[in-house]
Amino acid sequence: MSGPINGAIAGLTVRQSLARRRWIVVTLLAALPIVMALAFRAYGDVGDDMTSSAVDILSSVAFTVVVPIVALVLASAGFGAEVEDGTVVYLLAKPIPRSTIAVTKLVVTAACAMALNGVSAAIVGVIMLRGAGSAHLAVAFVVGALLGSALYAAIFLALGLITRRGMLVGLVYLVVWEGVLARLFAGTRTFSVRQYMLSVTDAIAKADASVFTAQLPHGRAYIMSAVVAVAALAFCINRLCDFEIGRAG
Amino acid sequence: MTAGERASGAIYDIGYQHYDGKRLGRAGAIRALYVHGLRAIFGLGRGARAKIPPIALIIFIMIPAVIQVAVVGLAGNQVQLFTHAGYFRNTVWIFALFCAFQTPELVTSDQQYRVLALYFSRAIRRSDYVLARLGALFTALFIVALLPHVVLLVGTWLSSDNVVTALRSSLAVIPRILVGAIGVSLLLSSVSLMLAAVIPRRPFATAAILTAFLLTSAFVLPLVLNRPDKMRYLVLASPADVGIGFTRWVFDTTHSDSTFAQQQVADSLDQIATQARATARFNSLPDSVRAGRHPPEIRRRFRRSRGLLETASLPGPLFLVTTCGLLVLAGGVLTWRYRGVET
Amino acid sequence: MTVVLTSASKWYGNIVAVNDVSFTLAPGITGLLGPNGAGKSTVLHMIAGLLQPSSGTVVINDIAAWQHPVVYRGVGFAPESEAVYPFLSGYEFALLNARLQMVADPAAAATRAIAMVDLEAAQHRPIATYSKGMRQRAKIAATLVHEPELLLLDEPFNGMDPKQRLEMMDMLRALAANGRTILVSSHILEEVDRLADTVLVLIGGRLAASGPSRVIRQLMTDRPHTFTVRSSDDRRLAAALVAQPATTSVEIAATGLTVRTADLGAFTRALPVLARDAAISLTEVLPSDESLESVFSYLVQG
Repeated sequence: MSGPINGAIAGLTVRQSLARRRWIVVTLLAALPIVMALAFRAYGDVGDDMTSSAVDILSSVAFTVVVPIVALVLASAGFGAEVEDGTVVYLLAKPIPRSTIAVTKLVVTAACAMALNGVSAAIVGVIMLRGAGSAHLAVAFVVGALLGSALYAAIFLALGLITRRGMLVGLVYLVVWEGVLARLFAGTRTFSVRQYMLSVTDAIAKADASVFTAQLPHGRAYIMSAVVAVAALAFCINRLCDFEIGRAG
Repeated sequence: MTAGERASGAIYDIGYQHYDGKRLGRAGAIRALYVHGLRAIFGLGRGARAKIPPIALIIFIMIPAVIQVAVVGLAGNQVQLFTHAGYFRNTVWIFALFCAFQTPELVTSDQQYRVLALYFSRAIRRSDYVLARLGALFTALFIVALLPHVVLLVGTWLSSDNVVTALRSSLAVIPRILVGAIGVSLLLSSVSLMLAAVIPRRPFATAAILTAFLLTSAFVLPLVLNRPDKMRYLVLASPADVGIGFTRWVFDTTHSDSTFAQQQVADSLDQIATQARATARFNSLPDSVRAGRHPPEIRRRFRRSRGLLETASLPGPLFLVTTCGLLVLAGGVLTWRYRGVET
Repeated sequence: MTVVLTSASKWYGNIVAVNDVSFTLAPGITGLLGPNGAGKSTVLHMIAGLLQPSSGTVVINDIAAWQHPVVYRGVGFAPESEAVYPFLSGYEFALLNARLQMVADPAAAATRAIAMVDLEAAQHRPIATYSKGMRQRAKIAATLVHEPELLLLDEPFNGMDPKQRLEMMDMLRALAANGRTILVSSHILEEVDRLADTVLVLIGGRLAASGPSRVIRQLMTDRPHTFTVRSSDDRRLAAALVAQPATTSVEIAATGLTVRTADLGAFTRALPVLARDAAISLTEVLPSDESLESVFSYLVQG
């Protein structure tokens, strides 16, 4: 198989992502918004319009915390752990172009993250957004979650290749950059994945400004998403091609 | 070359050093673990790279205090941007970061590098190890929590006209500061230590602690704000908010304190500013959109400025009880976890 | 398959791991011998195309090893570290390697490789449950699964008990008899001696010696030794030592005698007897050149 994706590596990556209790962690994380949605349904009255609460849950819990951290945990399985304990040599000392390896890992990790986060957002939408016209909103949030998962997966995979403390750097990025700076300084929004998610969601939802609105213009979000995705992929391939192993004497 | 060989087997003295001096026993071991833990948290004795996270975070925690002192120096005591009462609320996330980055250095390193078996084969009990580490983390957090308050106090004293009266008026605040710092440190140290002890690798422990604080707070916020009547007690599930509630109770923000009036002024100033910004944005929307709709920002801001804890309005001592409960829980989890280590 | 290193060097900042090494690998078993930290792993990684030489070239069949993954089809590399995917079973690990190597029938190849290393009994258990020796064997199986012409093995006998070691050596000899090129690294002279036809000695990153293993062994054990001796009467002891056939030279200094000998065994037996017969008491007998630097310098000069 000399196409862009290698089946054996894909299978391996999936198993790596599920191994070692990782799958428990990511499933719990992805289930959290669902639990909240259920709590709302249970404690609310039947006819209530839950749109604003749904928007709250999705944009401030799912998008801000769950999507990136699920992607982070999966990506650390992708390159972080392997590089750290040295088993990556079994992938690299093979007649497979390193670009194929990078692309396969990226696609599989992104797909896992997208599956988990997309399903989670969809279920929340089904539970809470039942009114007329809110189907649009639900779909919009799912798409936003998918986009965010893919972008975060790409970024964190690239981070795992740069530094051995990839996970820590990813966390610092999440908390400091996206959490604090991107909220305070409007200029940094152009470089915040969370804003891309919100903006794309807004574009698809076409909802009232009173229900949901994003702060980054749509055009910019589309462009920057594409730029980030391509840059992360190119970076992964490049790093992997130059990757040297073996420092022991 | 060595000496002494007898006919049938012998023990050779190859020059190992004997130690016949005083042995310090359990107390010495506990103290050694405690001091070592404290040094590990601040990155002492570990090279420059290990010192960067704790020092950077301490600087971040002190920044509001420094700003406040500068402002007081320039504009006098009436302007209170950052008060003792509200300090923890303003900096709670930096505390969370500090715990997340440094607690794994304290306990997860031992696990990851397999030194636990070494420790437990010495003359200490498992509970000693737990107490020493918990004590170290508590002390570190206590110091970090106190530092900014000290800066604020000193700034207030030095910039007031009559130092003695300033001192005297601060006397009422000092016990509150101490109690607040103790409570917050207990809370944060028990939660972080609980998590770090059960997670085998350092980056995952950091992620877990951070996620625990972030997630619980994000989880609790919309639920309580939307259904305060039924979900008020859910606030106790979020350690960050329990800490904020505790400090609010300790500093008793309904107490007649000149700073409270200032805070109210500041809050309403903030609301007016928000309103102005939202109105400006609203005015920039096209006419067709504008008709018959009021700017969403205000509604949202109003909610937020009322605050999670005001909405939940739980009695103060409840936070104290929760803190103690978490401490007990942490003790249980840690005992269970370290009992299982085989030597 | 011909492997040619020409003045290959590898440095990391100020640390030179491999310094100007040149050799050609012939079919058969070649041993790469050297103390820990000598650069054996680095050389192996360079040949395996996992490290870029800082200068010089590493060429397999006239293609540079670095950044030419197509070369790997004929190369099997077994790293030293024990880390393998713990959740895979031995069989699955071999199968994975077979699929990655694009072998025609991965399942059959994996089964064959497992049989060759005698892991059939445990092949379906996760590798995390294996002992160290079994892990090594699983690694070797994964290396052999695509029947490569060039085998690079980094300390393959680590953790194996003597019986497994002998079996592995027999297997490697059989493979070499089929015309394959095998490079085995080790820091244990006896292993290399028993296994390899040719030996390359790496010390401090430099190629200190190369040649048939018997010759190398001879050089390393029969090199002259130097001792510092202090006694109650140095001059008389020196006179007695000069008369001894085992002594090569004796030097008298204020700090004591410096004695050189070519036959360590005879000298150590003779010295105490000499001293007793002459009623001299020895206060200090120290070997003064056990360092590897002296071994190296001797080998380089000799």
